[in-house]
Amino acid sequence: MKLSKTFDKSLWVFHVNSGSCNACDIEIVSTVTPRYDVERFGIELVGTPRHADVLLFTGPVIKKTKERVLRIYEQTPDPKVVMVIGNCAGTTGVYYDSYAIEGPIDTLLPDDAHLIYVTGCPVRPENIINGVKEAWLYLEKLRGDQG
Amino acid sequence: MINQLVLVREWHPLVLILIGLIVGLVVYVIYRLGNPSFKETRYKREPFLSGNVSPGESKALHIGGSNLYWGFTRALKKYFKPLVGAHTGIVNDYLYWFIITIAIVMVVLYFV
Repeated sequence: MKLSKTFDKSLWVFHVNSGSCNACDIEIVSTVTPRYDVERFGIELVGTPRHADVLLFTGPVIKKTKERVLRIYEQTPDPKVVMVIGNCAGTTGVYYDSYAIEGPIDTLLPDDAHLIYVTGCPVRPENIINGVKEAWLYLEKLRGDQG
Repeated sequence: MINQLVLVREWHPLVLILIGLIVGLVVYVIYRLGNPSFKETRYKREPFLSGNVSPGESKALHIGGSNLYWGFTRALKKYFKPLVGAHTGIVNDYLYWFIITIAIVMVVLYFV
């Protein structure tokens, strides 16, 4: 896996709602508001996974979004990091016994996917920013391992 | 040889071979710029349509001019309606319009 030199400058993030109640989505939006303003660090929400380094998944994967989640994951160029935002994305949370649930995101993605779990219901913006920092460190480490 | 090629005004096989070599070189350079660790998967080459299934090469992807300018033509329909009616598709009608316009222009130019 070859890492692009653009990681020296910024991480671009694509947000996917795989069945969320929108609470985590609102907290993601708040990270780009003037109070937190992650764009200062080059972290930017982008409109297509083709430009993204990090995927944010919110909510449990429901049966209607399963194929879409897999399609978006594959359409994101390598190397990439998946951030599992909120308790529902990681464990299906309060929706665990719903008829519409396919499962938590980590049961659907390939085994080699690198996941970062950000917990909370909903997650705090500081926690999301910390998760992006962890993604950054992982990708930097990946480049270091490659020499 | 270059001088000979410059002087050649008509089709020449050497020109075609040279063009082929140059195009091949450009294609190879673009190919080498790609990520060598690219792995083919089920959905990777599909266009991104918010995670939806690509409709392929069907007409569902086609957006014509009328999709963009319908508001414009609707606002000016009093102007466009007679124009659309005048476009009969018959060459004779277009020639009549041409002759009539030329006649009007000549009359105007005679008196100006």
